[in-house]
Amino acid sequence: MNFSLIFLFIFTMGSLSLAHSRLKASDSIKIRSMNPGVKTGPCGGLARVAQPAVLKAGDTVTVTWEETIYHPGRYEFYFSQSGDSNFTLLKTVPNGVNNTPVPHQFSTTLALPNVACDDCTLQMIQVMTENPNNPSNYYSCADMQLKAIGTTPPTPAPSHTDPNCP
Amino acid sequence: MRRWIIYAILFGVSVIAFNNCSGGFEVLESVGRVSAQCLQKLRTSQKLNGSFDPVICENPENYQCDIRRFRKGVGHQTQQDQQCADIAGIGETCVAVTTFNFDTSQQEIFAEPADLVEGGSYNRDEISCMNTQITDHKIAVVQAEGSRLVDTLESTILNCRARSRQ
Repeated sequence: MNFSLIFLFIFTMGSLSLAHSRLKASDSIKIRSMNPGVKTGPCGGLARVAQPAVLKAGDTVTVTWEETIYHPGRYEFYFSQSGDSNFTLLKTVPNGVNNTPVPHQFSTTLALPNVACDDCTLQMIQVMTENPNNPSNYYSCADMQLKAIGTTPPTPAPSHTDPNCP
Repeated sequence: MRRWIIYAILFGVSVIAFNNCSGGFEVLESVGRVSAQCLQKLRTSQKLNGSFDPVICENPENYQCDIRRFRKGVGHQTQQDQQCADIAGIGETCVAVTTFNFDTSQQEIFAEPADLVEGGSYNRDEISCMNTQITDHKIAVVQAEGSRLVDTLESTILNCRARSRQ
């Protein structure tokens, strides 16, 4: 093995920047658009879907998405109870270096808040950090309804989950 | 043996250069702790963490722009140079620009036709400009995004001036 090549590979990996990304549709994820390059938040001004997914409050859902152009950074998943506002962070998934052919397929599970809502939104933000001091985003949204389970009173979703945010 | 010594020296020099030139690992860790929604809040908040001198807005050296170029055949290289734009009411303004090239030849295989026309997801430039002197959590909070350098830079300068008056 040529050690010079290995050395060169290691040092170029850090600067490779080959994000476009989008949620993939499923029974529990009704996406607003297939457009992988929505640049304006929270959901690109796209209309809600006519038939949102109906789930139970507190359900765990599997979310799949694909990245059609690789960017260093991470994916953040948020939940809004109403009106595409007051989003709360559910999960962050880092995006490591990936030089395999696109599109790249991803999957994770999310625990939905134990709240009942008719126009709730699941939002995915791809945070691109080619320049860590000036990150840029892509947005993808899915619509859902959460129904209360039995007589258990729903608990409000946390209004704020980022301890570093003023 | 001599080869390994050379590798070790090169590695050490690179680590030192990284820490000196990028602010070290702290920058990335810091960015990782601020969510996208939080950053949006910081960028649109009426109150910055302390006021700043409006003169900061008038010096072109305080601005930096990133261009993400999604085009067929542009390769995957990153370039740094200085580019000038004629800003209304200001005149010719030259700023540091980093261009991240994303060759979208592969995306043609699965892209929708709308993604490939000029301005589509895989045939466009995404510009992001920032004032490097006004930061929170080490991230630029005075910035703007657009599709043309001249417009985006102008929006950033106007944004800076507006924030300085708050």
